[in-house]
Amino acid sequence: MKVLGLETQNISALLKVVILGLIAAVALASRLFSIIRFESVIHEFDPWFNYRTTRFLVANGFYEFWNWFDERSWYPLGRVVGGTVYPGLMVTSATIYNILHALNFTVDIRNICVLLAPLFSGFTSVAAYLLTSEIKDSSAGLLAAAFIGVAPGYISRSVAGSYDNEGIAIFLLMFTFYLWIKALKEGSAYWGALTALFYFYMVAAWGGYVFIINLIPLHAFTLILMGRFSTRLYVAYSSFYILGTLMSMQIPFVGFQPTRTSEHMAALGIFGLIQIIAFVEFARSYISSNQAQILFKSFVVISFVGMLSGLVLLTLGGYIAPWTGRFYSLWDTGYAKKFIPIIASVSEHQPTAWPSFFFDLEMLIFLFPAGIYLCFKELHDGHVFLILYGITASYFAGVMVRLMLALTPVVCVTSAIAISRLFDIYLKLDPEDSDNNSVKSNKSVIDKPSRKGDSSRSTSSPSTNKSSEKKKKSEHFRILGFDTRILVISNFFIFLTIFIWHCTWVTSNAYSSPSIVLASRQADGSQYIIDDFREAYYWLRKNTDYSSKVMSWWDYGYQIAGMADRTVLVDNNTWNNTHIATVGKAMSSPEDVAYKIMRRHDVDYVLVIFGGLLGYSGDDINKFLWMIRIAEGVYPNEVKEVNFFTPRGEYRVDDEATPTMRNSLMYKMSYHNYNELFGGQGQDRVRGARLPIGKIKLDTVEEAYTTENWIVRIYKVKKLDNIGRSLEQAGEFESGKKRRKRVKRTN
Amino acid sequence: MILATSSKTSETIRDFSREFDIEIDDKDTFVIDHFNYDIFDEGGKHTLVIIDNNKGNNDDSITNNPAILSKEVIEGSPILFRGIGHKVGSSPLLVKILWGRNTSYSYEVREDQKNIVDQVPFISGNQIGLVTALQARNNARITFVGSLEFFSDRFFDSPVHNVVTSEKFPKSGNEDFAMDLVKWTFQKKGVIKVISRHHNKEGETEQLETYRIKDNITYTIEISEYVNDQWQAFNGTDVQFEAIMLDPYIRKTLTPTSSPDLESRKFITNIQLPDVYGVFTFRVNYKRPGYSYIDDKSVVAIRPFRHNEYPRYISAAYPYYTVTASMIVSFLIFSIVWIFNEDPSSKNKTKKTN
Repeated sequence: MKVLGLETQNISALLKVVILGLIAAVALASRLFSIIRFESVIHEFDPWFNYRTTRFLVANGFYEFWNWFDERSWYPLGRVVGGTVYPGLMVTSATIYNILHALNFTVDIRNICVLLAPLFSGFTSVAAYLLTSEIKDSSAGLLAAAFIGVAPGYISRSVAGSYDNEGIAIFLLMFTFYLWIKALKEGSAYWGALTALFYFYMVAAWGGYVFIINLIPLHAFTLILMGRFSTRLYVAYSSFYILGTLMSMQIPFVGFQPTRTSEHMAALGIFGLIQIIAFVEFARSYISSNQAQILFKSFVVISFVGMLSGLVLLTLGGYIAPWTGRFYSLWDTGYAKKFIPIIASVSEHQPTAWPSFFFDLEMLIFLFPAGIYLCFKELHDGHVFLILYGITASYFAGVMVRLMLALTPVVCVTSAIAISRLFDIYLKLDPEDSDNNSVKSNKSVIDKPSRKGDSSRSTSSPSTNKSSEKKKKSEHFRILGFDTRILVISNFFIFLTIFIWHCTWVTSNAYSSPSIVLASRQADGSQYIIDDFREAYYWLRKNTDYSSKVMSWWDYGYQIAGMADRTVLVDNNTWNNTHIATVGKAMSSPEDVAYKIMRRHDVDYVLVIFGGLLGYSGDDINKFLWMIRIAEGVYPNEVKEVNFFTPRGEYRVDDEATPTMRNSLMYKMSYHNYNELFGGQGQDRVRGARLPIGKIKLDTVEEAYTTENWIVRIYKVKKLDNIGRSLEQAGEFESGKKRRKRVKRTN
Repeated sequence: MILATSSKTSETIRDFSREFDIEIDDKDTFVIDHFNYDIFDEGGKHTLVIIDNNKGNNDDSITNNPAILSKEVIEGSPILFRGIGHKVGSSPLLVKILWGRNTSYSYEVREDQKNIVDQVPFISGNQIGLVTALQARNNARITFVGSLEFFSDRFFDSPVHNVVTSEKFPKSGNEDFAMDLVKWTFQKKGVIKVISRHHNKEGETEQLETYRIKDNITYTIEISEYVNDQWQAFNGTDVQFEAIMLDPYIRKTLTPTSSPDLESRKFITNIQLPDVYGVFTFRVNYKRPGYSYIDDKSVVAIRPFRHNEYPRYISAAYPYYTVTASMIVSFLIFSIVWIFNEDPSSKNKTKKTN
């Protein structure tokens, strides 16, 4: 059959390319809301650090970056950036930058950073296509590509300006999995090495690589348990593991972890196990007595148990680091809150609320189990992988909000499988249905893998089974009437349309805010931009000495370093809990204690975020409890959380606030002069409370700057009093009070 | 600034001095000493007290700080004093220069009153401050003197005759004392300053902003002192250097060098930086009573080793090198043998291990 003078085969190939290109374009375009609404800026917190390091990399070259000791953060400890960073992201953008400049496109590095995540989400949809086509067929692949392109769960981390590791890591995750499935299918060391290569890139890009290095061994292990050990698995896994581990150890931040920490032990154990099994299989091919079989099997089991106990012994002996707190918190959601408040204090580490599944994945979350069910129906290697990935990822996504990101790809892939299966059945013999032209190509594509499956050396040849089974199924359903088909297809057409609408709406309304610029609607519907953060940071940049040290809660560390270019005490890296606790202690202590800490750390300015005037709920008073908790963890005798609660256990800022609360530096700095603004009693719009009457007196710091909407307040730390008084006494003298006289003698 | 007060001092002055942690005694009080008073004491109230020169024992009531007073004053004639005493607070910036003898006390003196002491004096003995100075953190100096007559010609020229011990001196030490006091207060004496500071790696001269851990560096600071209306080399021997990151990691006394030019002296030390990276403050914090303060800070970063600064080959690792090398060689040999040694029967095997 010929259309426009081309073979159907060619047309379908062309269409596939065009559709995939369009999907990638849509994926890119739908992430540009933030640029259109606001401007081309870096968003949030971590991206500012990535942006800063990228600029450093571009300016100073790779070796300087590799050895970068950053003395402008974590004052006075400093941070060895080169050794504590996943450099993949920065190196990627710097490479793009250098290529473009070599071609004489003088693009600003900022724009590359802003647009990197959307660009890679385009790549992600291609990777999703490849993975799904490898597992099912290309029509499912196209659906998966379309889903992942617009799924809000992924968009939330990859809008333009969200220049973070996850932006490129999801692409790498998908592509590594694709290569793994490919390697497993082909049983070739070539694909295994490619898997390792992309695994290396993933290690360089994101700490989430641990997911890969545990999921792939889990997959291999499950296959072994299912009795599906084959030379293909042996070759794919061995080449992947050895090359991948060696390469991952080249990243300074990872270093010797693959051989020394529990997170990587599963991979090593499976590697050992697979060697033993391969040897046993090899030996068994020469001996075929029954006793020998039992002997071999027991040998495998014994060595497995031996390795496991060896691991436990080594862990107890301290040769292998036990699981880190971050991983414990994945098993026990209450763990972090008890022992490592710094991890629990991050909102994206909280357990996921159930509506966010629907919010982020909409109807895909319903199709996800259907897809998993379909995978169960034909358990070939790829499907086993999808099932494992789906189960683990959905558990993790339930435990931690940010891991929703890892769940999204598998949900997209499985739902695509489910829908495409549905369309296979209902559209199969309906060539005039113009709705889904990709399905037309179905027939030809279905045949392809089956042919491949025949030619592959596998004995099980699952693909052949699959396609024959499918043919059987469609035979079975062919009796369906035209009306039923229309009903189901149009139904799903509506679902898909609503899905797209939902995704676009969520993207534009929920995930496209840069969070350094806030937008609100005024009464007449016009947009009102609240730009207090940048106002404050630029004030710092322009009005303070270059060597000034700014103390703030760690959330704002990266932004201050990036936008204000000033030295900070703590930042979002949170590598040193004690240092953060010290800052927390300074914030939660009375002025005199805080002043000593600030003097010791050479603090010049203190920055607090205060949302009371505007109703901005992410302010420091709301985060204050975490500061107290973290400080209490390190200084249990000096900071006590109980003292900040009223006797009835309430956290209040009004008249009933406890004295400890009202004397804390944070409280004083937040509400300093606030009553005066109202001419009497201040109204806190976040906590819906009226402040206590009376002036809040600050002696050790003085207000330096407060932004337009009072969101950012900057205080300058006073110097020691020139003539040796305490600052409190000096403050009293300034306010006109004399020092107390001694009692006069009476005659 | 010199603030000289008398027994008639107003409350405003009291409030003012109170901010400096100096509590001037009540109105109409005088410093009284029944064991050390001058023969010219009027009215028998024993308010014209004699402060002996410094003899180097506990009973001294004059500072022996050479930065403030010259040797002639410290060891010279006794000093006459009539006026009000004050209580010296605990502020570390205060320097007592002249204070009451152990036998003295401060009490109200009125013409119509008999010498009856029926209440505990506010201050007594060596708690009584007579001349006290405060050097503020920006090196401004203020001196409190409890007497106006102290600076009078009569006191300057008066001989001293201790009634109780019958010691006699032809001329009081007031004039010399006052000269030194004024010189010191108005920054003509006891003033030191940092001319320059420099740190560099041993064997180099360039001052860097970033050093490596365990670098050997040389720190030099150049200090001069203002003596006799000109800048001279400072003679102190206890200048200390500190390398601080939250806590001092290194504290070392600097070695004074013989100064080639007479205007300043270099203090040098060689140190090995600690094995800790971070932002360190090189600080010379020289605060001695009487001298102006030196608090000289320079901030440097101490970075860890670069990737190419580690030793390339470690002898302990030679077994591993050998293993790696032999592995590479044997793998190559194995591959060559494998590739060029294919016989028809091995076809199945190749498939398996592909």
